[in-house]
Amino acid sequence: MKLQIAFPVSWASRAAWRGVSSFIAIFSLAAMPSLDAQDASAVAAIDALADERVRAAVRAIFQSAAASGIPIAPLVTKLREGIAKHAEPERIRNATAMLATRLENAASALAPSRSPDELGAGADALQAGVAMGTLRDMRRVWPVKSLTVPLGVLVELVSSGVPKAAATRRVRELLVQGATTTQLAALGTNVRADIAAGLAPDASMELRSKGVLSMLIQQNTAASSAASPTRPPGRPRP
Amino acid sequence: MHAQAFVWWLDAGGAIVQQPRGTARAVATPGIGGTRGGLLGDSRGARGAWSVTGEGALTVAMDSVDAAQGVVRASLTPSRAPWTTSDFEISSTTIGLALPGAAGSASVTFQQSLRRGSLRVFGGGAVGRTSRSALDSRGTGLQVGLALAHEPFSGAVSLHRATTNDWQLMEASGFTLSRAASAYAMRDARVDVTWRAARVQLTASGFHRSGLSATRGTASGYAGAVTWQLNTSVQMIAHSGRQLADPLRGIPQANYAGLTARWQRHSDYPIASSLSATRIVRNAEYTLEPRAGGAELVVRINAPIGAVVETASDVSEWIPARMSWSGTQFEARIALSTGTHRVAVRVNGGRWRAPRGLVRVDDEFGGAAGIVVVP
Repeated sequence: MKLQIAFPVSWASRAAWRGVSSFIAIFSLAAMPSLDAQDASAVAAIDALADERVRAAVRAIFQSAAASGIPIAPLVTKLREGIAKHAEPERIRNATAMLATRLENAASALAPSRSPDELGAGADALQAGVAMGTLRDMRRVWPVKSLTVPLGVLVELVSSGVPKAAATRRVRELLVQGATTTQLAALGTNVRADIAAGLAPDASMELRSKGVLSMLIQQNTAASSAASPTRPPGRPRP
Repeated sequence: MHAQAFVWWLDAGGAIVQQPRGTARAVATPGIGGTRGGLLGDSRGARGAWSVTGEGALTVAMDSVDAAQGVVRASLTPSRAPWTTSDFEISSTTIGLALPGAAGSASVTFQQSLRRGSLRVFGGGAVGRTSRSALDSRGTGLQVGLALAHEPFSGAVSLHRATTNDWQLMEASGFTLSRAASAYAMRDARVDVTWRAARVQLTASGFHRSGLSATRGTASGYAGAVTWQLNTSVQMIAHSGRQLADPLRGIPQANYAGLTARWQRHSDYPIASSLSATRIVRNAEYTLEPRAGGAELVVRINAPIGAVVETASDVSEWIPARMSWSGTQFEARIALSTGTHRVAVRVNGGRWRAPRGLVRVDDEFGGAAGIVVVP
């Protein structure tokens, strides 16, 4: 989903909009082309806002995000969430703006990905207090595979009370050892179950992650043994 | 193959057993068992879920009711058809511990189940062979049944048809042949009901047997059990009933009442290969079941029947949907694709909140939502 933005990206960047008055925002919008038909859902969501000033500001946020190459689907979902929950217009504008900022930061850290799901998960991680450096590091470890599930699990762990440093370290180790997304998701479920049963979050994290790690290390060792050269059958040892 | 979970247990208990026209005897009933489950497949994905259970039990008395039984069960659910499960069971019993193997039985059972939602249809067959006092007999069985789960209740009704030429077993149970026939034939109707709470489980079963064709006679049985989870390691199980003669294993009809303490150990940490199969968060208001390309989230909320209970999620663009009343609670099923999702519920227009058991995150609108990660 792309917005048709005709004027220079630098003008429309999110940074340029931060701190400027709503007057400037409305003025700038006059220079922007209207949203095209592909963004019908975005247009409809924005038009559902009752407050004209907020509508203009949110439209600007969308256009700015699109100009920066940020997928607007997560923003549309956020906007719809606010409307559905009958939140105050200003609150919707603030939440949308904050999400746009998080998406922009996530896009920077998880480059070159522009996947709405992956950036949305990155934005969630930033909201949970995970550092941008952690996102960059995870991208380095998994440069090709989607980080949507690992980031979602990291958010689960941190929001469950697992210390950020421990959660980050362990998830990174699991990525390095080649954990599957299923294993990672199950790790999150197990830790939550342990915490609900009364175990300390960090103790559960250590126990569960070590369990998965031990299995991965075993698998990797077995795989490397299998891949090592062997004598052809029947040939005598030199 | 990924290991997933291993549970093993030790049983110590005793019971009073009384066979028809016999006197009541006290027996000790020690046992040991273990079950292991996991996923079939490799790092690219699972091809199915499996479990294997082995159990051994002794019935120890100072007379002829001494017996030892070993049972191995295997279960397989393919990931391509997660709505079906195949179960196999091999059972072996030796009667008379002083001379093991001189008398006893062996049986093999197969059952196939098909599930749709909380409904399960099952059917299968079994064959058994019994040796006792120079009598070598054979038994066969077929069964079909229907099971329904509706937490905290689950129940099943089933019909069984069995044949055996073990005339000692059947005559001791009061069944006779009205004319010359190669085997006794009988039909059983069975009802099972289970109720579960956090630490207590009640099960009750009733069965009625009637002879078919040349077989004359009827018999009724029942079974009840209360399981009380004292802590994470110890269960107490009180059980009582009247078991009907088992034509496959050659086990006689008897009344019994007993008490067993079970000590069990879990070691499910070295795995985490499956989605919801691993653990269920205590008191959770949701379950997550794997589906092709994602999962199905089932949200269940306890609220008065007249309440307005709604759910909303990112997959429905946060359009609230009324949850349906399922008889005991409100329920909604949400299909989720792979990725991370947010879900929220509210009752009677109150504040949006995360379903209990999911990780709660601030929705930035004064409420909260729960995060669901679908691998």
